Amino acid sequence: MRRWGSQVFLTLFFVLQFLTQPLEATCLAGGKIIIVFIEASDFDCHLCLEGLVTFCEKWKQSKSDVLTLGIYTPPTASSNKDGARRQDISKKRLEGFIKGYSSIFPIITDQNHTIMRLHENKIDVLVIDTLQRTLKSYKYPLYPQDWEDIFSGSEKRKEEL
Amino acid sequence: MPGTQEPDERINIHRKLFCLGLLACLLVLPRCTKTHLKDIAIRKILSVGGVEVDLIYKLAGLVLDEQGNVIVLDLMDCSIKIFDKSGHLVKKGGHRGQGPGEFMSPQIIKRDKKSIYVYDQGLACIHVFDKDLNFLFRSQLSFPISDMEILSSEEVLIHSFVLESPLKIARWNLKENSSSKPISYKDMGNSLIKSLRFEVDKTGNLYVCHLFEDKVEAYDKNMKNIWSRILMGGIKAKTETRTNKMNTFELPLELIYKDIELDESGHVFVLVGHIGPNRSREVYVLDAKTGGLEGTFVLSEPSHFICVDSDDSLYSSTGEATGYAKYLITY
Repeated sequence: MRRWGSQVFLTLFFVLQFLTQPLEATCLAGGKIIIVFIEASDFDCHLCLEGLVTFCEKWKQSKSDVLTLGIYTPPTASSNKDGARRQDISKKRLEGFIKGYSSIFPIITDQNHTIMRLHENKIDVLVIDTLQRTLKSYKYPLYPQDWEDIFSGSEKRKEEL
Repeated sequence: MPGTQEPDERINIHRKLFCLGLLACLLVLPRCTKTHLKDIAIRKILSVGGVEVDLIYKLAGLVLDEQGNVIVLDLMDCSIKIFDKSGHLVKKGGHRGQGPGEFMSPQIIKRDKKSIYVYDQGLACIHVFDKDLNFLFRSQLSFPISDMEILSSEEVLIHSFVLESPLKIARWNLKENSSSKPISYKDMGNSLIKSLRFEVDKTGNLYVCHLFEDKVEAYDKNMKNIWSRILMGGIKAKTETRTNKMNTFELPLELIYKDIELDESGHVFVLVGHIGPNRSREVYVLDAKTGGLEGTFVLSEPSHFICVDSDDSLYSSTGEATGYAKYLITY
């Protein structure tokens, strides 16, 4: 299940990147890709928002050669009026969140819930390391060693290898 | 013999008199103690923002200045926005960050004549700005607070469940970054249930609504209780027992009251929380001197706060905090 999920995810990710933001070959060659998952409920829950805000601050401070992408999952589409309103409010919250930053990594909307968090082991951040060929997941709150692992650049990881 | 009564007749007469007296008491007594409620009505006169408009993304709080401008704190884009009386955006300042004048998680906004004060939970500090949204300084706290009121340009009154004081309220010196009461994290988990919102009037009296218990109170500036009111039968919030690494505590699952506000005419307004048929919309109006219930009204939309100005206008959030509405209160 996990292998299938990661393969689907990787395929979708590269397709989306090709369509929205052309990748340079050097970026993938030894680089790292960080995916941060954002749910609609994160904007209504203070602790969840705090985790996301901390991630964004760490991203701003990081100067390593990592590629970061946010995947936002809106509320489930529903035919009734309340469902449509919830989607609009959620989209508005996301717009406000992005506007709060002068620059932020790209955030795409997973409208059809194609990529979902594993329900039992809720993942907040996924790191694909093409150099070490690993896939690691993290949950908030993150500790200093976690931040170090997530944002360490390729130079440092090449030394470790 | 004439003029005399048989014992049975006397007993019957006594019984009848007793019943009549009891009936009279039952009829008269409620009238004596019945609170005569005022007919308080509200009429929406302005609506700003909303889901369809890109003005406000998540309204955390709102204050008014002397000119009637509305100063909004937006939690999502971490900004302070000033709207004029007609609801037009005239100024905006701030964004997310950790530098001077930047916010991480702004939650509370208050003002006095010269300055605007914003409590930032993410940075655990109180930012101070002038009226033109120029950043002045930041006062660093070491603990979270759930409400504050401005006493002067150097001192604020804060409520935090780590304060060792009655009602968990103490003075905070903005320049010295110090509290008038000691701080303790020992019983933090169990103190959450005692959270409250408060307001201070011009004479220094404190008006308090408890968030997780049906209790509204008034205290004088020496913390002596003036009155205490129960408005909904004394209900308490449902809780769930949680355990973390440090302790076990009761986590409340609903709010009984959400906010308290004063006007300049001697009224106290209390916004009801997740209770009753009008969840987050019902407002009780009390007399500030006695705590007597004067009336109630219902907002058109749920809100997490209320704000009243000197012209008997009430402000509350709309569209799940994507806008605000202004109502005129008539008595």
